Parts: sequence; C-alpha cells; structure tokens
Amino acid sequence: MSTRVRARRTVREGAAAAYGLAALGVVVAPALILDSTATGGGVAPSWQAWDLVAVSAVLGLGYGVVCYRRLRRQSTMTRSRPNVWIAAVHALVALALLSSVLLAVVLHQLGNMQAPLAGQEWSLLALWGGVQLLAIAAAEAVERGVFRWLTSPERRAAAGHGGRPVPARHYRRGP
Amino acid sequence: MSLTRRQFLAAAAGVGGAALTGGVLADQVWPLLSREDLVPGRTPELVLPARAWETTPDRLTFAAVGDTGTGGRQAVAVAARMAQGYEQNPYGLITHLGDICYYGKIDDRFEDVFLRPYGPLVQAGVDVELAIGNHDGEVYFSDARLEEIETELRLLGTPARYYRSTHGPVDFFYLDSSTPGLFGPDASAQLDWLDDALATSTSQWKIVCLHHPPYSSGRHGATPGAEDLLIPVLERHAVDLVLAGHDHNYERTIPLDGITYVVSGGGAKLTPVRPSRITAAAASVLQYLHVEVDGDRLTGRCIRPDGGLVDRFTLRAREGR
Repeated sequence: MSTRVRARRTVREGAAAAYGLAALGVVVAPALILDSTATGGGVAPSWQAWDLVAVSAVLGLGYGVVCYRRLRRQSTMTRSRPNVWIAAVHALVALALLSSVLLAVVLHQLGNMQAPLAGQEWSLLALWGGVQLLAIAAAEAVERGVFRWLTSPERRAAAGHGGRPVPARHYRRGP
Repeated sequence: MSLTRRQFLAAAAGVGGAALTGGVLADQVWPLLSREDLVPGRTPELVLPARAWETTPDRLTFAAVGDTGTGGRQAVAVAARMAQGYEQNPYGLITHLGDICYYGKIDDRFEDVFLRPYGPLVQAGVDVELAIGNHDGEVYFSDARLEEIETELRLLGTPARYYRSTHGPVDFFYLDSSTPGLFGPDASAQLDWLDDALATSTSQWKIVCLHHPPYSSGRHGATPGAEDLLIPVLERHAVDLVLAGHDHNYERTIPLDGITYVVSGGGAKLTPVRPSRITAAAASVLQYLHVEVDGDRLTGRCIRPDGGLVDRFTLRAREGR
C-alpha cells in the first residue's frame, strides 16, 4: 500500500472517529450542561448527580461507535463518498438539535408529574434515556432519508427504464 | 471531485442547518437548560425536630428565600440545605420572596413546588410568609391571576396580598410588587398602607419583603418606578433591611441612606449578576439567607446548597430603637 493511500485511509478513519466523538458529545451535552450548572451554583457533587450523564454517556457512546464503524466502512467501500458524508452531516445536525430540544420540551411539559418522576428514580432515567433514544432514531431516519434521496437518481439509472430501483443499501456497500 | 445538483443542494442545506442549529443551541436551548431547573428533584428525607426554635421579644431567627417554584433538583437542593440549616440553628419562619410556582398553576403543583421540597420544614411547624411574585399568577392582572394569587395565599395561610407581621423584635412588611400593583397607576393604595404601617411600627427592626428588587445588578436589574415611589417611603421610616427576589442570584448592597437591600432569588434557578458600584457582595449561586436577630444586632448569612458561605453581614439597629 502506497504512502498516499495509507494517508488517505488515515484521514478517512480520523474523520469517522471525529464524527463518532461529535455524536457522543451532542448526546451527552444536555446532561453535562445541567450538571455543570448545578455544581457551579453550589450543589455538592455526588454520584447521584451523575445519573443523567451516565445514561447519556452509555447511549452516546453506543451511537458514536455505530456511527464510527459505519462511516469507516462506507467511506472506504461505497460508490459515492460525498453522499455518505452529506447524509452524516444532516444526521448529526438533527441529533444535536433534537437531543437537547426534545428534552427541554418533554421535561417542561411534564412539570405536573414531578412527584411521581422524582419518587421513582428509574422512571426519570427511563424518560431521559427514552427521549434521547428518540432523538437518535430520528437522526438515523434523517441519515437514511437524505442518503436515499441522494442516491435515487443513480439507482433509477442502474435499474433502467420501467425496472424497480436498486435498494439504497446496495449503494452503501460499493461496487 | 464534482458534485451533482442534489449533492450540492444537500451539502449546502447541511452546512446551513449546522450553522443554524449551532446558533439555536448556543443562544437558546443550552442557556434555557442551564437557566431553568427542569429535572425533578428527589424528596428530602430529613425528619426535623418540631418547633425547635426560640423566639423572644429580642431574638428571632428566620430564613429568606425566593424564586423556588420549579420543584426541580436545584430547588430541592436549596430546600434540603434549608432543612439542614434548621437542624443546626432552628428557625420558625421562612420569608418567601415570591415566585413560589413556575410551569403551571399552584393548585396543580403545590405538592411539587412546596410540600415535597419543604416537607421537612413544614412538618417541623415552620411558618411561611409570602411576598407575591410575578410568576404567582402568570396572567397579567386579570381575574385568573387574582384567583391564582388567592389560591396561593389560601394554601400558605397568608392573610392578604400585602400585609404586616411581627415576630420577636422584627416587624415584617410584605408587599405585592407585581405591576401595576405597586409601581403602576394603582400604586397609591398599597404605598399609603405601607406608609401608615411603617409609621405605626414600634418594633426595633423593620424589614420590608417584596419580589421585585428596588436595586439589583442582576439580569432584570432595578425595578422601574421603585426609586421614585417606594424608596422615599422606606427612607422616611428608616427601614433597616429590604429583602427581594426576582433576579436569580444573591446580591447585597452597601447601605443606601441607611437601608441594606438584599436580593435572595437563588432558590432554584440561576442567572448571572454583574456587581455594580452599590454592590457589597454578589454571586450567581443557588442560595438562601439565614438571618439571626439578637437585640440590636442582625446577622445575615447567605448559604449555598453545599453548605458554603457566600456572604456574611451584620447590621446594627438604628439609634433610638
């Protein structure tokens, strides 16, 4: 393998890793913001205060690894790298926005349910994790939708007139 | 590498969306998350000795806190520290500086915003006296707002929208500072009442409690109209201390014509404060004020949820009192 090819691969893998870290970051950001605000305001640090950070970190880490592995594979194999990265950027934007906005909206709307939520710690963690999972699912849907839209002309062309389009997933695997 | 029209459009939308999202998150959503206190807080599990305080004609200990109405983790942390403060130095009175309920109606949220966080203190028999805040009845000066305030007053056993109470050597004067009640066209009735009440007060200490601060270096700042309408009355009757909330921080002014003004609005939320030329102490922290009056000396301590001391000040009674 030539030095140039190795360098390109390193750049691609680095970009995929950076994307995975960004995905982790935007998922964990709301919990970190809440935690740092409370600590800065004078609430004593405790392991209990880290529960939301821990839930977000588990979800963010899992999703970050999935993103990293997928991007690393696709960016070396797929037919069209720009499609992969454009779809990934859209997904990250959706994830960043939804993982914070959905939490703010849901927690605000559930103002009347604080007592039951506070009484059972697991229900709060489940709510927090569920909302973030929803944001991740939405980001995935955005990624797939954008990728499908970008590859649809090629798929139609490959299928020929009157034929069924080639599934988008074939375009993730390369020639 | 050349891009197709679709790729170009999608890439441009992605970059634009990223820039827009970054702006919205940094300017709106993340500040909102850090400003509000939306995550439910765990109920404090302390059991406090009932009626452990001692109030005599020349001694009183009380706590002052404002803007507690979230029911969230930060509000519960402040309430828990207040309960611990009671354990160490019992008090029989909380002067609440307004905004006891955010995010809904007090009838629906009384347990969340008050009974749950302050349960140990309520169980111990501590009285709560409320100065009405702008969020205590969200709808501006309407029947619905008045109804909401009436409900709050009923739930807390507060006698009226503005009233006077005496505890040991201190006369407290609680005002409804929500506009236009105190600073608007209808101000005269309440200000006349305050003028008369202060004139007839014979206690050694006079403390005025209201939600909107006459002086503040916080986010909302000094309340318009206070300087012209309220402060002359306070100065004429040599009030010792004015306690307020509204800005979600702590601030104590230097004595201004003999009056010390304290903002103690860090009961649940946080906003920044920039000390000004009249500031003696200020901090953007969650906090409450623990006040001990002993004869001619009043000592206030601003305490964070972790027990840290933010500020300590001492006032001496006015000459002749």
